[in-house]
Amino acid sequence: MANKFLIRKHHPYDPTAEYPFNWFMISSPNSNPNLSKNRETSSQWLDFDTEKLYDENIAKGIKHTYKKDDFYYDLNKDGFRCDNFDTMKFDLKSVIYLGCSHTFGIGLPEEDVWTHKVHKQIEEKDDTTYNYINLSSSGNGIDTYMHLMPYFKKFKPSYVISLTPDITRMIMPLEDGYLSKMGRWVVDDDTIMKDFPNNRLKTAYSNLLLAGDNFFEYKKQVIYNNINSLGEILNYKFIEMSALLEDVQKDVQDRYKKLMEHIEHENARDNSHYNRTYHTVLAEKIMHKLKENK
Amino acid sequence: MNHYTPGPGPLDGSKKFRLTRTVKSLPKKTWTIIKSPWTWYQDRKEMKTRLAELKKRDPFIYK
Repeated sequence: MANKFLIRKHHPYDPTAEYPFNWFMISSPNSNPNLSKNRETSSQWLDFDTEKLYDENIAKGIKHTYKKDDFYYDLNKDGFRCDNFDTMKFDLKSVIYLGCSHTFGIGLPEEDVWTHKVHKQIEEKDDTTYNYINLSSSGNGIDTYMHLMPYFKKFKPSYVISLTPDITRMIMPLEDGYLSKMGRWVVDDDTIMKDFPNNRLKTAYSNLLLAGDNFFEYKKQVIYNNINSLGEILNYKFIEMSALLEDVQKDVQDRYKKLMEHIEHENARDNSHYNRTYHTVLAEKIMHKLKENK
Repeated sequence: MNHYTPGPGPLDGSKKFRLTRTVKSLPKKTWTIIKSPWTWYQDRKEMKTRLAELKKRDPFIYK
């Protein structure tokens, strides 16, 4: 039995560490020539956004909005797409962003991701400068929020904003202690998860999926109640919105369609995540929710 | 599909009771074995439907 749990590349999961550690998969040796001093690592491609996929999409006749080197994924020391935590001024308050690849901004430059748009608008609204803390990662479910909650106090948040991923995503420790992000893709297609062992955990997860949404909905409610309760102690506002297309309210869809009428074509670099216009609409919607919550 | 049947454990009751229970449960067990391919097929069908629903809801994958 594993006595310690590992995140990635033998990095231990340590809730007592100074800062949380993010899951990330760098798929390119090319890094940003203009990397900011406040970032540590940079990669042209990351996770599902690969050069191979980009070329394949061109071969399929897909017109890309972004060129290959239009942006890089600049990460901090702990693997998050924001500035290094140790150089941040923590006399300032922060805004913490939680979520999956949409919040991380896979396929998009940082300034086009909803978090940046929301951050600018919040700063304008409150006439204050906030630390920008993006704690999202690809494949995240709300389980990861529990990993991050112990750090909220350190970041002194005024707002915690979540673009909630699908509730059926979760983290499960494998027999060797490796923490694996589980989603329907684990059981959906064997070719997607070739290296995933066909073990009892997989069977258990399949059965959980089969049992319906109640289990996951319950888990979400417990986690969100905890975040809300912590918010009362730390004095932050918690706002959440579903990242799922079918859950997103109709007005978001309508607004998106309206904006896209004037745009011929737009896609994220991996051609599967939401484009920048959709992120603009998401930001608008989140700002609306935030103002409503007063 | 719920296959769990609550009831007394294997070592509960007297020897006679346990024997009677085993004999009585034989037809049910046999029937379960006979219909297992059908159960497996039904489960698989249910899983496929659920996965299709989840795929529509969350089309993104993470390797």
